Amino acid sequence: MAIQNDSDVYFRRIVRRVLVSVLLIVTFLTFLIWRIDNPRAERFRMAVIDKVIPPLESVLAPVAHFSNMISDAQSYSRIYMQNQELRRELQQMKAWKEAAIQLEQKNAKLLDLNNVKLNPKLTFTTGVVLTDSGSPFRQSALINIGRNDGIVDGWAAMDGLGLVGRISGVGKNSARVLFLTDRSSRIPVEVTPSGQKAILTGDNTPLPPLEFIDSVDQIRAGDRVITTGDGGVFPPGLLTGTVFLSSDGRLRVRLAADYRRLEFLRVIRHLPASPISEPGRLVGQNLPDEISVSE
Amino acid sequence: MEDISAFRLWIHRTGFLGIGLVSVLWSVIPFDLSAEALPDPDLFYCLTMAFLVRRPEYVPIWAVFVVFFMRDVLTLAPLGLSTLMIIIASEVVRTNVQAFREYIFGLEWLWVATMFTIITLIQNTILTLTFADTPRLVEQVPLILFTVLAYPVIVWVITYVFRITRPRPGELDAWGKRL
Repeated sequence: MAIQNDSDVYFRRIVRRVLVSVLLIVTFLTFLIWRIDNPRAERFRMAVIDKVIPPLESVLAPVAHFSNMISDAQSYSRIYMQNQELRRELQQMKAWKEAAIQLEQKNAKLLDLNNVKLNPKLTFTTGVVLTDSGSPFRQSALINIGRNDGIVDGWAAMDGLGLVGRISGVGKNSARVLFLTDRSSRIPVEVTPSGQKAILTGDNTPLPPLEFIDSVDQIRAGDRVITTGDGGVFPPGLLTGTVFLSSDGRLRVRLAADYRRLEFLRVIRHLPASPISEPGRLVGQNLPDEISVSE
Repeated sequence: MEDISAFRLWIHRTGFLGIGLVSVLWSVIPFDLSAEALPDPDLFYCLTMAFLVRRPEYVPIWAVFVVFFMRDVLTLAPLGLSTLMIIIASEVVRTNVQAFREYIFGLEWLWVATMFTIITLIQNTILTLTFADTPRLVEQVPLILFTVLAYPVIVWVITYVFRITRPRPGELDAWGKRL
């Protein structure tokens, strides 16, 4: 039987007290550093995540997959209803398909007239979603491609159809995609038939509102929303969603991307054209001596 | 005798740390990426508090620090802020553990719920004061509600599954000291 003497107890108490104060000070300083030098703290965070998460991919992926299998199995129980629903939708789709074919033919003719080439710069890299943000107040995901694959901060991420978000934070083997639904997401968009510019503002709901619209009158529910190239961040013309008028009277966007079933994300490689800063640069090449004079 | 008790103590500490890190990883698994998903209850807060009231020696402060700091890093939360709050709350419980043990369960529950609400409010206040991006209170109400509701479940699990109960009168710890 070990019997503790008083000095031992006293010593342990002192050590504990020091440990508690040190931890309190360390956490408080970390918070201050995070607030004061946010980019550096976020780089530190990304470096830690980059070390921790990719090695665990083989553990995390089966769990997520398994839970998806369960939810899929649940959906089998409603299979008859879904079948009916799909048949109805198929009927409507046939009509749309006809319309699409006609439009495609028309478009092909116009392209032929115009001899337009589609932008070959827009290639993409595909990544797998590793983790979500883990917090209900942040909408983002971690994907398994990073600096080693040439990913750059600010590039657009899409699922098969629509824009999902943009790259915000790049590690060596992982990158974070900030969703359009996140509270800190602001994307310049254009509402197509009327050409109205607006800012798509994430507010942590599945249906982000449009803000700073030039003239609200020209926008109708059902209009398509695409990105603009404004600010040089995104390539223009990526499908984002459709406008609708929500019950609180705001114009919101029903996103084209399906956030419930995100598994793969396409990151669009985008190298914005260099801005034209002087009128002389608009025509012809830069003269080498002019650069050396200006510098 | 002493060796066995010390061994048990370290088994429990490691178990606590392990459950904590697993729960942090669990929270980042991408089950549902849509924004309307309801927040999960803060299960690890419940677990920490339930352990602290029953066996504070199983919850060393460094384990609390490691787990909650990892959670801050992985979940894009403000670095260190929730860790700071949880450490303060855990020390409040730890220093008043005798009083907590004598409470009936309802009162203990009320205390844990009140502390979580206060922690959340203080965090919001600090974030607002430092002009950081603050989650709206409306969004945090379900989080608080779910966490409070989850507490009895967690207590039930650790009492009847892990068999961790409040020490009986006269029970001794690894060093022969009264608990």
